[in-house]
Amino acid sequence: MTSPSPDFTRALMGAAPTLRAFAISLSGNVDRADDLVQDTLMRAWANSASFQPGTNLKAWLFTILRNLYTSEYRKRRREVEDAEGELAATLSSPAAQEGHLALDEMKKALSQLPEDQREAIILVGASGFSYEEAAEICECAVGTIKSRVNRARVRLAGYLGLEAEAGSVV
Amino acid sequence: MLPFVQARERTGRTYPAQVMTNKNEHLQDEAAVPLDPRLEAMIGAKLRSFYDTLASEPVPDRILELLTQLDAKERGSANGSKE
Repeated sequence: MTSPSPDFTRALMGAAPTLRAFAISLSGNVDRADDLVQDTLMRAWANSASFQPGTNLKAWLFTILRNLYTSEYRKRRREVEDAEGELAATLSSPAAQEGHLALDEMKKALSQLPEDQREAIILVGASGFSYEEAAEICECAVGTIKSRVNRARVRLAGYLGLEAEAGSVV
Repeated sequence: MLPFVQARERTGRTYPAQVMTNKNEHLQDEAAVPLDPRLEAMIGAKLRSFYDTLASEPVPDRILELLTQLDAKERGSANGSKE
């Protein structure tokens, strides 16, 4: 077994903040996101030999995290439903602090999207992946990703009340 | 659909650019609702701002320390085997 080089470990550490942003955006839960990031980095470290140097490390890491999240999500789907209801209630509280308002608003809007649309819009619209890269990460066709991203945008515009805002500009 | 397009391309004939573009649009995604470009830009900006804020938060020390420990252990045992 070959152990990863210090450079590889440093690269993993460098990717941690953006992995964490992805995990929070996906799960809407910071504690769960931190566990996901930790599991992803451990798995990546242990499987460094299967990473092909010269290919996209970020995409490789996002694929690991996305797979961990998806398998866990399917397992925990029923038990977390109540907790998610609580989270949504907390986020819609008018007492939410001004600074966190925009963050909470987007977190809530993302949580309302279907799982497949949420991961697509985060990967393409926020993480900076191309449609092709996102399709590889999600193991689906490029056209499917494009369609999911479009649908997610339309829904987000509605959840965030942007149609009215854009209309008032005219 | 696609084999038909390829077959036509193989004949070596050229088609006006506009025709090809329209055809590609039709192939891409017939289900999606077209969104106002300004709306699309607004959503994009809000999403990136949300994501960048999250990505600028510090990663919990315990996560990075685990990696450091794994590395140190690995290097320690590698050095040990050489000595």
